Amino acid sequence: MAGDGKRVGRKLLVASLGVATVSFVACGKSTPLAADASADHADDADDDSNADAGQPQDGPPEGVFDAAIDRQFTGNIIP
Amino acid sequence: MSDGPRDELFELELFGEGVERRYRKMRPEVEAMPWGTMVLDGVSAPALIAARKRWTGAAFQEHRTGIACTAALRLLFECRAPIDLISLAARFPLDEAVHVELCARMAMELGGGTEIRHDPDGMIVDPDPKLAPLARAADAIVRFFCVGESVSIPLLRGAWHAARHPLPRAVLGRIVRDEAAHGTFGYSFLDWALPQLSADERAHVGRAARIAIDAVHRVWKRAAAERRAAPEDDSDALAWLGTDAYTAMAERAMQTRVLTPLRARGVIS
Repeated sequence: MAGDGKRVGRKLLVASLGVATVSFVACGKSTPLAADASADHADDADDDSNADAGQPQDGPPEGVFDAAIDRQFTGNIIP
Repeated sequence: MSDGPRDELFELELFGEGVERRYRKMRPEVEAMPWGTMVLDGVSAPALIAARKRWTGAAFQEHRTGIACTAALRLLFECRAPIDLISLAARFPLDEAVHVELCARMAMELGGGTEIRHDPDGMIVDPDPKLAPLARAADAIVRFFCVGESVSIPLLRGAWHAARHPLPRAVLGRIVRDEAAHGTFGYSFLDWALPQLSADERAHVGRAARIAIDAVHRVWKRAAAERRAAPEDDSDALAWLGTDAYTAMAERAMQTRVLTPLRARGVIS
C-alpha cells in the first residue's frame, strides 16, 4: 500500500553462490579520442590483458551454445 | 569509500504490488508465456548448470544493454536528434528491462541463477566527453546498435528456430521481435548524423566501429576454440545450438548486417 512504509516485493533472480562463478571484467572508462590510441585497439586481439575486456570471465571453456549464449556472445557485447 | 573496482553480486528483484501491476499492463506478453512447464527430468546435471549459467549471463548482458540504451537515449537528447528518432529509442530501455526479466526467470525455471560478480561502474564504455554531442552519440550508437545489436538479430533468430520447447521459444521470440527495431535504428541515426560530422569526427566513428567489431571477433575466436556439437539428449529442454551452426550464422550476420552497411556509408573501409 502506497505510503504505509511497507513493500512486499520479491526476488526475481537469486544467485546460487559458488555455482559457475563468473567475474565480469569492467569496461574501460571511455573510447579514446586520439587517433593513434584508438587505432591501436585493432591490434589488441592477441593481448591477453585486453582480449576479453568487457566480457564475463570464467574458468574452463564450455563451448556449448544454447539459446542464451547467443545473446551472451553476440547481441549484447558492448565493447 | 574505496578507489578500486566494486565487487557486487548480480541479483534482481521486483517491487511488486501496484508498480508491478502497471508494468504487467505495459508488457502483458511476459505473464502470458508458459512459465512452469519445463520438464528437466532427462537433462544431465552439468547441462543444467550450463543452461542456468547461460541464462543468468543472458540476463546480465540484457542488463548491460539496458544501460547502453539508456546512455544512448541521453546522447540523442544532448545532440538534439530528431524527435521521432528519440521517441523510437525511448522504447528500448523498457524492451531491455523485459528481456532481463525473461532471461532471469528462465534461469530460475532451471533451478536458479549462477554467481556473477561485477562492478556496476564499469558496465559500458562511454564516448570520450571531449567529443561534441553529435560525435558522442555517433560513437556510442555505432558501437551499441550498428555493431552489437545488428549482429545479434540473425543469431537470435537462429536460436529461436532451434528452440523447440514453448517457453524458451516464447522468450526468444519476444526478444527477436524487439531487437529487430534496435538493429535498424542505428543506421537511421547514422544517415541523419554522418553528413553533419567533420572528417575527423567521421574517422573517429569509424574507429569506434572497428573497436566494436574487433571485440566481437575476439569473443567468437575464443568461442570457436571451444567448439562442441549440440548434445542431442538435452536439446529439447534447453534449446542448444551447436557451435558450427552458430559460427556460420555469426559470420554471415557480421558481413550482411554490419560490415556491408557500414562500408556503404563510408564509416569503415
